[in-house]
Amino acid sequence: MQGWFFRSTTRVAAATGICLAVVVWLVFTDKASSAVERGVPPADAPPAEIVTDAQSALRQTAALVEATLIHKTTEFSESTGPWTRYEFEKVIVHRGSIGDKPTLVFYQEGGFYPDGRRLVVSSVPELVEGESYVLFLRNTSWRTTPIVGDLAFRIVTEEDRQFLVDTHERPIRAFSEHGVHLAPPAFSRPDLNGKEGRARLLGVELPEQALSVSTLVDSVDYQSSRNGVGFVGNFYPRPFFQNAELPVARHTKSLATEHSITATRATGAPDLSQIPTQTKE
Amino acid sequence: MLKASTVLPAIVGMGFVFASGAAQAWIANFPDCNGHDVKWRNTLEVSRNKCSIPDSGDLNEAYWNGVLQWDNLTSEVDSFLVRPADDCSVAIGDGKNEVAIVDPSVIPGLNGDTRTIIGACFIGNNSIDESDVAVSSALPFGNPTPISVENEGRGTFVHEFGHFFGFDDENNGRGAMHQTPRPYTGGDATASVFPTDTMGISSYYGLNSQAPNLIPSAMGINNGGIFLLESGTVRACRGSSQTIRFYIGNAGVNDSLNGTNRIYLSTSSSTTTVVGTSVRSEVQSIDGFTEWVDSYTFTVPSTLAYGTYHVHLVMDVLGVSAEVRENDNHTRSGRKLLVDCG
Repeated sequence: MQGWFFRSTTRVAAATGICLAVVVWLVFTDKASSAVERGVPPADAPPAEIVTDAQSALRQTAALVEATLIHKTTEFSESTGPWTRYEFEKVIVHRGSIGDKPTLVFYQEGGFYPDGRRLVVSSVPELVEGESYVLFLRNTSWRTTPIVGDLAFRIVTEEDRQFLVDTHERPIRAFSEHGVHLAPPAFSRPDLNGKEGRARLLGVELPEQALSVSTLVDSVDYQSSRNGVGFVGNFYPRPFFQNAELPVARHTKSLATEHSITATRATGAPDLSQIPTQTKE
Repeated sequence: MLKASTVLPAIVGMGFVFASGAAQAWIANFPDCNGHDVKWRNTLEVSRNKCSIPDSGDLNEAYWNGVLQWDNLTSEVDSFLVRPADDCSVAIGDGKNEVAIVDPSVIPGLNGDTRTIIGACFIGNNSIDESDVAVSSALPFGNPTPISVENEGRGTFVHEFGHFFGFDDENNGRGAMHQTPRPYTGGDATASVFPTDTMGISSYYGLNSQAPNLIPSAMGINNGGIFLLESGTVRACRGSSQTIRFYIGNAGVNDSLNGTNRIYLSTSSSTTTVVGTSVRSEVQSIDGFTEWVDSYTFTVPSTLAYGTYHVHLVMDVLGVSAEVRENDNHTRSGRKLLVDCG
């Protein structure tokens, strides 16, 4: 009996120890918490597609959100390169859903290396701390930014009117079946550090017809119902592939045609016949 | 994970400042570092990713047109390299400037994007350390028509190489750095740089030649958007008066000499050869780095055979000015004339 008790106790202790070890292992390897992995698009999430009009934009939109950027921080590792974490507050989900949290956090590729160098990705909208934005957030898998087709608009109040301006400081005049219609830039752009800029450009009139948040939402509703698309699926704040390496699309043609190329550089094609392959052209 | 935010405040505090770009109107530019351009300052090599860009064909030509539209003007690139055929990825931050075709899902449904690593802006100037160009595999890569308003690959290559050389999007001008749709000229390389762009490359790197470069286009800009100045098919009786607008520009430094710009009506859409009936000639000199939209009024000849005609513009048709590029002087309008009366 006593032997059974000790054996039993030993078993319990061993089981407890194993459980603790498993818990500790899970916690430190992030396997226990889906919080870290949550937000990464699953393998079967729809891929991002080219945005050509309102329909293709809305088809890829999980949510239309208004929010204020309160903090952005670069996270860096050798394997991922720099990524910037954006944290928003005062989140208003106008259409769709971003999950059950009151805050909005997502990542975009780019930011600072530890040595001060900076990775700038041309397709990533530059967002400035302290500014409020209207954002179209993806329902697709993504690699660089979760914002659909550059549809990130800063909210500006000027001359007692509300304007929405894109990251090139162009006010939205309309949102039609063709997508967003923009006026010429009306404000200077913030610098890469998010400083200065945003001043009214001299000699540029603000457009008579311009959308505010509420009229944009109305226009989006109209296009959404007209095309029967928009605000379905899940928003994923993390990329499906966070790596400092881009996979390329392999071409299928034969590679054995190098020496048949005779055009010169000046005409727009390389003269490969006189130089070794694999290195210079 | 290393939080870069923990080291950056110190750098910022020591003078990490980007001033806004120069105020020069409509010049393609990039934010400065302490008043200096952020540009290439050291040996520059460009590597074609052979796994995704083959050694010949439309895609290869699109790649070369993209880089040479800029580099033929300034010769900033020291070497053109080819990555091994089994290298089927682009590493960001490896010091190599790679150009590749990628699946559109990799660049969130966009036509292309460019990752540029710029040096820390501390004291004095900084430089571009690395730039990697990715263009969507979903695009067509043939020479676009002069009136294309679709997403296409050649213009995307020219645009992304503009980022490669240090230029930001420029939506006030009519140039290659405008976001889609972009303007095109005619000839065998319709996806081209325009005065906005050449002003930028001139101010950053200097130009090999000061010669003028006349360039016409069927596209204009309004409210920050590029659009066809004319479109559709219009019925035009023989003897009737017609007016067609074209963009004309000089992407070179020097003014052009007095040359003849000529309007032709032709049943051919080709802009590589001049065939058709001349209906209007105008002698013009165009200042360097200038551009505007011109209206050409002409009378449909009474002897013109019935048919559907494209309206062509050939700048400096007699070749008076020696230009940086001679094959980009000819384009056609988006409008066709249906001549079936009169």
